[in-house]
Amino acid sequence: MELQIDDSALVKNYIGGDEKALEILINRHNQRISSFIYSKVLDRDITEDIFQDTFIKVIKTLKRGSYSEEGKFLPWVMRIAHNLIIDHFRKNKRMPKFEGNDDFNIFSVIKDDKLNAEKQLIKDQIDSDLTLLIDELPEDQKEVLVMRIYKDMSFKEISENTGVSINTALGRMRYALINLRKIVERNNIVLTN
Amino acid sequence: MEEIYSEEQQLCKITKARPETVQFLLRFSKSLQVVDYKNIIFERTLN
Repeated sequence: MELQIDDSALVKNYIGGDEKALEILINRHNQRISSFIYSKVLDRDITEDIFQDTFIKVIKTLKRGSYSEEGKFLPWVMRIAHNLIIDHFRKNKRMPKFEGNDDFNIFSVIKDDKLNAEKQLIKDQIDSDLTLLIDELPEDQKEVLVMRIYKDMSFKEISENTGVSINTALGRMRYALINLRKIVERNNIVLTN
Repeated sequence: MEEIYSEEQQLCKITKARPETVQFLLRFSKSLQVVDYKNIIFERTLN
């Protein structure tokens, strides 16, 4: 008889660095989760996308150490998939899908200048990392940086709003960037797409 | 006798994610590193 390791042990192994455990978990529940998603969306490609997004969330949560539902792995994954299915229908309601045909392909006349899924994922990650790094800066430097970069204010406007001279605002911006670079270098954080 | 088959046969279709999708997820998992700096968690994707 084949010995089957239960989900909670596999989750534990995966969190401990055993990548093989994830493969077993995905293969074990692949059919059940895919069939569940398909039964709701009735489209093979969308099923594939939602399945992928579900496990991206699973992987991130496990690696971050935020998973706490020991012994209930499958219901947890199913709940993530269910929420993503709801998101999918909400999005589709806002943006009805246009299906092209053999005679006319909509993509021949419109251009998508957005980033692809992988680059968007990396960009979101960088944006969120950067926000956390900025929070680490001294208050006066953070204030100037946020006004300049996020609010797109000129240094003249910044000096008027903060009550300091333009030169001081420039200096604070310079130190903010120097400090950010220091934190990034010290921790080998990669902030490029 | 009453038939209790599902009217929507498609709803019961058994599907599986493609092997390429599974491979992508495994590669994504291997490349993802989580760094804890001063209780702030950073994610980094290594190529």
